[in-house]
Amino acid sequence: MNNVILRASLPIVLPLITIFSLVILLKGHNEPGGGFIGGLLASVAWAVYAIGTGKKTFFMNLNALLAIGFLISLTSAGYSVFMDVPFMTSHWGGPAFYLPTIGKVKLSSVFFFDLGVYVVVFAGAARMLRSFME
Amino acid sequence: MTYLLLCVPLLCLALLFFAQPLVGTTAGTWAIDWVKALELTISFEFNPLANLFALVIAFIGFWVYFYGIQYMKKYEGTGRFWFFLSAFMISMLGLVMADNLIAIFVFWEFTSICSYFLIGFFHEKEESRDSALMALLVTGLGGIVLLGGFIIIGVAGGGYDISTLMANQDRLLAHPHAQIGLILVFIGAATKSAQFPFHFWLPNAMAAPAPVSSFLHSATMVKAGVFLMARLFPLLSDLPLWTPLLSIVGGLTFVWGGFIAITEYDLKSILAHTTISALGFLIMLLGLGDDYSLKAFCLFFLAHAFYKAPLFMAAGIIEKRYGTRDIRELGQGLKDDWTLSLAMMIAAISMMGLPPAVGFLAKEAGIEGVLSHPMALTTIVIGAVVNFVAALKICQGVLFGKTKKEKVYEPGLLISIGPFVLATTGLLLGVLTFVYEDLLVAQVLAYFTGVEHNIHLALWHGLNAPLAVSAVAITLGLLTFKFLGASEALVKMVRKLDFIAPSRFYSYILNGTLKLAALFTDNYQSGYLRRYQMIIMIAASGLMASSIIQFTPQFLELRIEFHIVDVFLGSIIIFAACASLITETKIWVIALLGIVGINVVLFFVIYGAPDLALTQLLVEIFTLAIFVFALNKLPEIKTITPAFLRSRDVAISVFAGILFSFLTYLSFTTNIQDTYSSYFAENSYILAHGKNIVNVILVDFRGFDTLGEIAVLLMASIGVYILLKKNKGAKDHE
Repeated sequence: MNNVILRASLPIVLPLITIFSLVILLKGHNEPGGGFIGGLLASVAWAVYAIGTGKKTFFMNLNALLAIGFLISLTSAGYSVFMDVPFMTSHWGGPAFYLPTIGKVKLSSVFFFDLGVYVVVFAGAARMLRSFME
Repeated sequence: MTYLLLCVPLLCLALLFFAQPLVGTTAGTWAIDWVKALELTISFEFNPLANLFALVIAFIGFWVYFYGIQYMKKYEGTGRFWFFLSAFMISMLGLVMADNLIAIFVFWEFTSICSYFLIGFFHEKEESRDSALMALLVTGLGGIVLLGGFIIIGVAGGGYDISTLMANQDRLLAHPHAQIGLILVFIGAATKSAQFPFHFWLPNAMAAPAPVSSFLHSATMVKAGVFLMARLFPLLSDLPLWTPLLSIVGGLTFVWGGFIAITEYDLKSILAHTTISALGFLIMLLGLGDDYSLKAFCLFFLAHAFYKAPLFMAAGIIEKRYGTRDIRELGQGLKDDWTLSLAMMIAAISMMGLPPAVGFLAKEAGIEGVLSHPMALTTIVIGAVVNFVAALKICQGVLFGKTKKEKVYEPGLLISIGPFVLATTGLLLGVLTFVYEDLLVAQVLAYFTGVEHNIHLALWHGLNAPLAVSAVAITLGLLTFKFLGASEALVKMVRKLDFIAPSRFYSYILNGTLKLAALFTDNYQSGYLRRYQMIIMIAASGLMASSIIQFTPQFLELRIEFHIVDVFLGSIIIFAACASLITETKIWVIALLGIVGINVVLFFVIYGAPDLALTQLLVEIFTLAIFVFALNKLPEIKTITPAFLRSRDVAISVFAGILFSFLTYLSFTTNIQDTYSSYFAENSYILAHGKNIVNVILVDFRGFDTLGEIAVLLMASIGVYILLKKNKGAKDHE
C-alpha cells in the first residue's frame, strides 16, 4: 500500500498505540481496560503497521509468543495449587509501585494473569491477521 | 553399555528381598491414596503367592534381558523396546503385589498396553500390527468385563481391598450377584490367559521379537489371568460355580491347545499352542482346588515358566540362525550349537514330564489329585500325551532331523547362555526340591487353603498309582508320536474342528465396527464448514430452546419501555442488517455489517459499559483489517444453492435469532442477575482489590472462564494458521 501520509506517520503512531495498549492493560484493574482490550489494541496497531509498510514480520515468532502468553496465565493461575489453596486463588503479596497517569500497580498473581491474557490476545490476533496476509 | 540394562531386572530382584519388610505380608502396610473422594487406595500385600510369581518374573526377566541384549543388537528403535519391556515387567510385579482390585485392574491394563507395543514392535509389518491390535482388543475388552466383575464383587463384599473382602467373605458369598461377578472376572482372566474360546490371539502374538515372546509366554501377560484366579482362590473358590467353570474351561483349553500344537510345523506356533494348553492346565488345577491340585499348580507354574522361556528363546535363535521356523526344513541343529541343543533337550524333558525335571513332579502331583475323578484323569492323561508329543516333535525336528539347513546369520554363542541357564534351573528344581519346597510350595498352599502344610517333594515316591498313570501316558505319547506324529489325517481332522474357533468372529466384528465408524464419520464429519456450522447452530439452539421454553409465560408478560435513542439506533441496526442480506457487493456487505457493529458500540457507550464498548470497537476494527486482506480472495456473491436449501438456512438463522432475542429479554425478568451484580459490586474492591468490576470479573471472580477463553483463542489462532498454511501447501504441490 502506497500512502505517504500513513507511512510517514507510522513511526510515531505505532509506539504511541503500543504504549497506550500497555497503559490500558495496567489501568484495567481500576478503570476501563484490561488485558483483553490491551491485547486487541496492540494487535490492531501492529496490523496498521503491517498494512502501511508491507512488513509482515514481528520481531519474534508469534506461535511461540502465543504459547508463552498462555503459560504466563496458566502459571499465575495454577501456582496457588502448590500453596495448598484452590486453583486460581489470587495472591497479593507482590510489591506495588506508582506509574504516572496510571496510578498504583500492584504485582499480584492477577496482574500476571492479565498480562498473559494480553500476550495471548495480541499474539493470537496478530497470528490470524498474518495468516490472512500471506 | 547395553549390559547396563541388566540393572533393571537386578534392581527388581533386589527389591524383592526388601519387599517383605517394606510391603509386609499383611495388607495395608504400604498404601498410596489415589483418589480420596472415591476412597481408592492402592494397597500392596506381599503374600507367598506374590512371592512365587514375583521371583519367577524377576528371575526370568533377568535372563530375558540378557538374551534380549544379544538378540536386539541389529534392530532400530531398541530404546522403545527396552522401555516397554521394563514397563511390562514392572507392571507385572505391581500386579502380583497389589491388594486392591482397582490397582490390580490398572496394572492389568498396563500389561495389555505394553504388550501391544511389544508385539507390534516390527510395526512396518502388517502382520505384526494386526497381531498387536488383536491382542490389545481381546485383552482390553476382557479387561472391561473384568472391571465389571470387580465392581460387582466390590459392591457385594463392601470394599475393593482383597483383605477387606476376605474379612467380609460370608457376606460376599451370600450375595446373589457373586456368581455373576465370578463369571465376569473369569471372562477377563480367560481373555488374558488365552483360555478357550479366547485363545486365538496368543498364537498371533508370536509376531513379537523372541525376547518378548519368551517373557510373555512364561512369566508375564498370559500368567496374569492365572495369577488373578489364584489370587482370588481363597475368596471365591467356595462359590458353587468355581469348580465347574474353571475345570471345564481349563480342561478344554488344555486338550485343545495341545491337539493344535501337534499339527503345527512352525516352531513358534507349536510353542504358542502348548502355552495355551499349559495355561488351561493351570486353570483346571485351580478349578479342582484340592491340596494335590494346588501343589501341582505351584509346581507346574514353575515348570512351565522354566521350560517355555528357554524354548521360545531357542526358537528365536534358530529363526535368526537359519532364517526359518519350519521344523520340516530344520534339523541337525545339534552340530552347530551344543549349548543351545542341550538347553532345548533339558527343557523338553521338563515339558514331557520326565524325571528328574520339575515337570515330572508337577504331573505326578496333578495326577494324584484326580485319581478318583475319571473325567479329569482322562483329561490330564490326554493333555500330557499331546504335550509329550509336541516336545518330541520339536526336539526331533530341530535337533535330530535329516535335513541340514545352512546358516544365514550367526548371533554369537553368548545368546545361548540364557536358555541354558533357565532350562538347567528347571532341571535343578526337580532335584534340589528342599531349597524351595517350603517357600514356594508349602507357604503358597497355606495361602490357598488357610491351613499350614508340611511338604516334602521327592522324585521317587515308590511304585504307586500316579507313577503307573505317568508310565501309561508316556507309552501312549511314544506310540502317538510313532504312528500319528507326522500323519496328515490328524492334521486335517484338527483343522476341520477348528471351525468353532472364534477368530473368524473376531474379524467379522472388527470389520463391522470399522464400517459402522466409517459410515458415521462420513456423514457427521463431512469436511464442509457450512455443514459443521449448521449442526452446531441447530444443536445449540435446540438444546437451549428445550430448556428455556418453560419461561414463555414470563416472556409474554414482559413490557419494556423504549427510549427514543434506542428506537433510533435500533432501527439503524435493523436496516443495515437487512440491507446486508440484499446487497450483492462484497464491500457493501462489510460496510453494512460495520454499521451494525458501530451502533452496538454506541449502545454500550450510552448504557455505561466502556469496557464492552472499547472491546467491541476494537473487534470491529480487527474484523475490518482481516477483510482488507481477505477481500480479494473471497468469491463474488452469487446465488448457487437451490431455493429450498436457502429457505432451510433462513429458517435456521431466524430460529437462532429469535432464540437469542428471547434469551436477552428473559434476562430482564429473572432476579439472578441482580444478586450477582450486587455481589460483584460489593466485593470487587474488598476481595479482589480492583475498582473496575468488569475486569475483576474477567481476571479474578470468573478467571477460570477467561483461562478457558484464551485457550480457545490460542487453538482458534493455531487453527487459522494451519488451515491457511495447508491450503497454501496444497497449491504448491499442484
